[in-house]
Amino acid sequence: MSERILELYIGPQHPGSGHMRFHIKVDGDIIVEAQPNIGYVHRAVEKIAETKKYIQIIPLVERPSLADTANPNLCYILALEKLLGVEPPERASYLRVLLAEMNRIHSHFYGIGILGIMLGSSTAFMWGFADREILIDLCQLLTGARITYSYIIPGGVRRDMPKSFVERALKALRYIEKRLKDYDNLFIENPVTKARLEGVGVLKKKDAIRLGVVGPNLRASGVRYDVRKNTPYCVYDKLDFDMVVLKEGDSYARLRARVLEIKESIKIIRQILKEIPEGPILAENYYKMIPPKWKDYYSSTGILKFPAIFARLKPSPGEAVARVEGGRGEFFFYVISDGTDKPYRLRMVSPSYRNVILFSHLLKGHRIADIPAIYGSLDYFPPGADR
Amino acid sequence: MQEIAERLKAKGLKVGEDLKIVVPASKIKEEARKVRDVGYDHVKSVTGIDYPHDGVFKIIYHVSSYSDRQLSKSILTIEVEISRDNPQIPSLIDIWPSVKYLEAETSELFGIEFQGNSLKKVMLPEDFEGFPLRRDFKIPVEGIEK
Repeated sequence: MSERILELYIGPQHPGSGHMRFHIKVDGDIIVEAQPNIGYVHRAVEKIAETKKYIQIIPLVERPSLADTANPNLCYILALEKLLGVEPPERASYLRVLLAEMNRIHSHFYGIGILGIMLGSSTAFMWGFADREILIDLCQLLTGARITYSYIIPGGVRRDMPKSFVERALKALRYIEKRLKDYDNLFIENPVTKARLEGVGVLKKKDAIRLGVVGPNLRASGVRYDVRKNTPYCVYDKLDFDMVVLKEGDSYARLRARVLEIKESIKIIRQILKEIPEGPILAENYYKMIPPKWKDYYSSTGILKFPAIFARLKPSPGEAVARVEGGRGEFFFYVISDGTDKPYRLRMVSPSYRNVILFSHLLKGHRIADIPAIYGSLDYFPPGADR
Repeated sequence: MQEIAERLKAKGLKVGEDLKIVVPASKIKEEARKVRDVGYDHVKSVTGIDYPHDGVFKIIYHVSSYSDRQLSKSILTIEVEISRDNPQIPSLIDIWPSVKYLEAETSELFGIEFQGNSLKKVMLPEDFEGFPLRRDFKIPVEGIEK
């Protein structure tokens, strides 16, 4: 290597994110080569899953991607339900989508906040994380937990919507809509934000397809692919919303895509609050196994106790795949059952792991100062990627 | 799904309505190229599965499409079986660049060599010994009982 080119290691104590490292080569401050060095938070989810019962895997698959837990939970259950041959009642499907969309909004606020602090806008960071709380409170009202909901279970969901929920949710959504205007003024339309992001880290449509990128990062490059639209699951085919597709493919488009998706999610949640049908929240064949005492408890509180069979679920031998559109992109689960109470193999592919390929592609040719802008715009989450 | 199966059959691929293709390791690149030419433009997952009693690894590629709306509704499965004693398979990186990290992870955790993919280590520490996703991997025990 000539003396012109310098090697640099950035991280793993990365400002604003952490737990990953870049190995870059620079000419002056222009990046000529970049390799992400990941795996610092690898926790062997796939190995652990082989030692756990099916019901215990719900909290396991949620843990890696803390900002977006409802979607891996949903994806795993959709695959498991195919093996078990169980269908959730309609109300449960609506509640699943409700949680998934609330989670999408707070995941996007998380991403916007992190991008903010990476660009040096501490206000955007504070706002993003504060407004995320509004949704987290709503999720807590629905599920009882702030982040790791474990709400979606085989055949349904764990809790019904409390009576006060609709009113609280509508109030929160009105607030978020009002706040988005403040974000426009302070952060999104801010000349500094634009100068840092516009034309930076451009991902062309053909490269986005070739590299198998997912989520808002894919759609901001003009690719029309959203699992909710291409292969609708739960009740997405009954809901009216638009797929957010932008042409530019730069870091700014990726930021705007997230903001626009928040608006679509608000639209979806409003429809659910209005149209959600009455009815059971757990499949009949499981509900009838609940002892009468706990059925009474459910009637008065809306909170289900698990039927004992959940501790020994044994899907028939076979395999199933499922995909859902998470906040950061597509989750993919592949579950293989050998007929015992533990999966023979569980494959979990997370959106951040699909997107990690972008770093070496996008950083090349940019300045070192652009690393945070590009990194932040990808909403890349190391624990989610490493699993 | 039937229509998609017809499109694949027209390229000379043996496929049923479950959209699953089983190919020998020696023909993987040839068959993968045909699949790509139908319009499957990216790989969603590369999964290794260990069957120690049969002495084989199965490698499962799940591929789909972004650019073809009809194909995007389907996930095609390509299944390859390789010997556990000599776990090697040609990489598909020049057909689908999206396999880069997916193959590397499977390579590292199963000890399977994907010939042609230069990325080898992604998840584990450099001095880690063994292949943790193999069924016979002994999980190290820590703590006072050890």
